[in-house]
Amino acid sequence: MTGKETAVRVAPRVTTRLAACGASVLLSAAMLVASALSGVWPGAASSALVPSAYAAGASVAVGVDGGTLNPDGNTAVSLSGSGFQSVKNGFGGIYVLFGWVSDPGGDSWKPSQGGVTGETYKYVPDDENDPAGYDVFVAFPGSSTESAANGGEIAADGTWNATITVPGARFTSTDRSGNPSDVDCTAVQCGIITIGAHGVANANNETFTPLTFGATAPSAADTTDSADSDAAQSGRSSESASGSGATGKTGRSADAGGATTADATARQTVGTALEGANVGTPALGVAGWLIVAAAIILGIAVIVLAAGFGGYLAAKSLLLGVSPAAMEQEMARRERRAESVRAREELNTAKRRRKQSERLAREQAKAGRARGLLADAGAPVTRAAMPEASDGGAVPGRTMPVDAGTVGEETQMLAPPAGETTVMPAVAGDSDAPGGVARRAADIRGFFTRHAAADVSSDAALSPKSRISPETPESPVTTSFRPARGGEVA
Amino acid sequence: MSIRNMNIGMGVLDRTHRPPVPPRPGDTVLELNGVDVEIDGRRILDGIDLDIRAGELLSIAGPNGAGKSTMLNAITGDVPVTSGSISLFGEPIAAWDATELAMRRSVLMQNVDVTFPFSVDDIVRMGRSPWEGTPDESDDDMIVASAMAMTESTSLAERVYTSLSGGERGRAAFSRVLAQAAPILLLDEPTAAMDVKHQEMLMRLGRDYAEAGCAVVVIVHALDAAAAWSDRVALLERGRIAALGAPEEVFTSARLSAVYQCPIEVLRRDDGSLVIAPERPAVRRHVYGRRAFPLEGRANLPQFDHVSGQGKETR
Repeated sequence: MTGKETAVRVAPRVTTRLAACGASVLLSAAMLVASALSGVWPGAASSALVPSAYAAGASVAVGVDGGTLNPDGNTAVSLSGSGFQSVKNGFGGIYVLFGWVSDPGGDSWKPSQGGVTGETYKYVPDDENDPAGYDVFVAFPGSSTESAANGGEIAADGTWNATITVPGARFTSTDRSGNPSDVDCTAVQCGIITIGAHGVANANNETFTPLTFGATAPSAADTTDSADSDAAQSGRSSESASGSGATGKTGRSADAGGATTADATARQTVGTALEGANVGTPALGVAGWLIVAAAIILGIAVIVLAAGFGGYLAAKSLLLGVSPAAMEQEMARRERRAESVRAREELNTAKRRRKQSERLAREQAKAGRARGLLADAGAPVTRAAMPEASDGGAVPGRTMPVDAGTVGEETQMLAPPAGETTVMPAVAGDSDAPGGVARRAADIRGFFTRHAAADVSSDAALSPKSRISPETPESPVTTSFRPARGGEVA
Repeated sequence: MSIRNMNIGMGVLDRTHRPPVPPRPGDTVLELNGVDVEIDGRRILDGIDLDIRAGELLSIAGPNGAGKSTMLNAITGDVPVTSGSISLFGEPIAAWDATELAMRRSVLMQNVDVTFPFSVDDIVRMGRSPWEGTPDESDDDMIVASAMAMTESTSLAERVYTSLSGGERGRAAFSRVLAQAAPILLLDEPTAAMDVKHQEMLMRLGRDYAEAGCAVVVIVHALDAAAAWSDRVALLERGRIAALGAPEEVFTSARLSAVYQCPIEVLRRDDGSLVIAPERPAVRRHVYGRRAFPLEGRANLPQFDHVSGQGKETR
């Protein structure tokens, strides 16, 4: 029993301690998160890359069959690569693909720099069993897999030639896990991608040559220029590498003299802008993130505290249900509270009653001053007199027909009925009333006082046939039945 | 129990309520002038002229549907008056607020049901509510005890109202209206469910109350009780007052038979009291069941000898 009690008493302390620990843990976690975010936010710059010395070497010249890339259908594109690294008897070679890279002007998309298919570069997949020519494999000379190469081999001087089929502006690529991802080359910048084959990353052979849809055939010279300048630019480290590359491209495209239509440039800028956006985080700022974190922590703390308090209450009620001693204590406490409430109410009632009686006494005193005494005994003192009638018991200015015309000479104070607040002038010394009914004010209170001690059951024995005469207040009547009396009223 | 049925207003601690001036016997306390009441196009009351005076017990009699209860409802304000006026203590009903009305007139309706399980003591105390906050509040205990003693309800004081029989409820409700101590008492068939002893008791109390100087208006079906106890009788027929006066004047065989559409006989005893009974044919009895006279001996009535299987029995 004591163990449970102490457990209950300890439980609230433990709960609050737990809550405190939890809160501190959450706070530190939030701090870490905030610092990490703050570290990341201004850190678009940290993607500064060391250019590969060899990237300047490899390049691909593109010749579009028919002059324009067809956005809705297949277009054959002839390629001639130069400056590539050729490894005699090396494993694999290069894959030549068509698709999108996350960093056209830089190197971050490249597998050698940690790029992952489906994330930093997406290419048109081809069916192994029925290849349409979307993917081209150019093998190293003497490579074990040379027989599978549909693009020939890389010559010892680093050149190669192949033809790739571009399926159109929109395609669906898949990543390593097979998750599909749609690419729209009219919205983003796509082009010819070369990477090391068979998963062997080779920075020397990783290139990206941008291609635009719907544009008039970019001549081999133009594309070579752009490829060279791309390479040159990537030689420089820059904060907004993609951005400047994009503007450079756009500028040159405009200089090409209508070679690129307005939509194409727009699409290009939009595409690069989107790529730029992919790099950064929502611009909330350090303060904003701190506020969000604080709000989350506050919410969690409130919930934990509420849960703790609820647990305490639950444990308490459980204990009450289990332990009769605790239940008795609780009942005793409640009894005491109810007692105090009742006592307070009693006090209030007593106070009110006292005030009533005091007020009554005051009014009686006032009336007593105005009271005229009667000859007959037993006329009770009046209880209430209105201020208007308290001036010496003068007749209130009301014309009431009164018998025997003795108004005003003597005022008879009668036992007033309940609720009376005015003094009624009455006939004094009624003995000269000719045996009729005396016109006295209704005596309701007297009616009750007469019957207060009445033994009503005794009336049943009396004869019901006797006439009932009007009552007189002076006669000590205990029953409401009187044998026939004279109608005389004293 | 709806407040409407209780008609005692609210006990507001407000000293601006004008307390009633106790009337003197013969004063007109309630007056109906040309009162018409129409409900759903049907004229229930037609040109009622009635003066109710203090110190008088007025009985209202009449067949079912004559408009007795409607007249009471019109007086209490529960039913709107189509034309005519009703004045209470010289002023129209609307001139008094609810508490003032409750101080002046107490009403006992036919339906004395209560929704909540109050005790009889609580219910009688409810009658004192208009006087809360006035100096008369100090008389509450005395008046409540006296009212309950008068109706022999003291033994019922702690009983729950809903557990009482019809007659006991009627007595408890009558105690409540008595405790209200208003100068006008309006009773709608107060003795409907009571046995003869309590019926007589209540009528006598009403009479005493009238003689204390108040005005008592009772709607009764029992014509002999009305004749015995009232000072004046109003006979209602189809919404009009057919006759108004002392019982001896109003209750005649011809008039009663015409109004109730049933042959009624009015006999006058030696002392002047009336016996009113419907004319009934002599019924030829068929007694098949057992008979028993535990207190007295068997009444040796020859005509029943052949009925009992035991034959003539000597005791």
